[in-house]
Amino acid sequence: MVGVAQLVERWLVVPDVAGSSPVIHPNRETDLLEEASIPWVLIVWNDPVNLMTYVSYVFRSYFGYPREEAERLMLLVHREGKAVVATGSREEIERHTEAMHEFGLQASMTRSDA
Amino acid sequence: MILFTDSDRRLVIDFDQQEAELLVLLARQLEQFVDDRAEQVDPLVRRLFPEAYRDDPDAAAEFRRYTRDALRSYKTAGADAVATALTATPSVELDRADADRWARTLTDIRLMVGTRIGLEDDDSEVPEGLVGEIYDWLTELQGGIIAALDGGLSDRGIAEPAP
Repeated sequence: MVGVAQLVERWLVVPDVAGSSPVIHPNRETDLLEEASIPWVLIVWNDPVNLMTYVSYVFRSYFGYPREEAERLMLLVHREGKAVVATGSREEIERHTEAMHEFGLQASMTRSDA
Repeated sequence: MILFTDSDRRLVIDFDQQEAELLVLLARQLEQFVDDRAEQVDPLVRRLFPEAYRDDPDAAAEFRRYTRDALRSYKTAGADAVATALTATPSVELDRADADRWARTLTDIRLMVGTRIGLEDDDSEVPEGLVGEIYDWLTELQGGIIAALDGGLSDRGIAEPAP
């Protein structure tokens, strides 16, 4: 039975161009895994034109947040100037950003570690 | 302007003839702006079409490339729906989906008027005068629509009034 250590070694050890001696890329796989697992965040920014009741309505109707959570996020946007209202994969957050723009909200996205 | 929810849980808005004409005018202005000027450098473009990536110009440009046309169509279709309905009659009946769409279009119209009267942050004040009054009226209308949505409207599709 092949041990885990050997399996890991087999993944990470890639022959060099000449094929003579193995070249070890210790971080390649783990970097890719980390890249995929770092979530993106959707940020909604304050805009004096957007009614507070409207922002709360959007958070409830689009994300399905309960009224209390929608109000909390809306007040964060209003008082702090912005709030993170969703976290997910890059594709998900791009879709949410587009949807927020259809509602007329000021929304942008960034990596959660940025 | 009178708003009420009828027994079928539809939102009824009775506009004065003048109010209806004003809203048609504003909706058509929004439609024309989005049609003609969405690619220009303009403070209103930045608000109607916000940058998706504020700290990555390349990603922002790519997002724009893939989404801008659809977002423009979405906004012009919403503006056209409001203008078309009010051109037919100053009294409209909206189900939940219609009211949601009207609330979005009113957001865009208020962004258009608000940008022109300099509403940049929470300290900005609505100026006195006709445009300020129009802005406040739009705010009242949008607030009424949201209150109706919060109160619960029918999901059933209601046919648009015949033109």
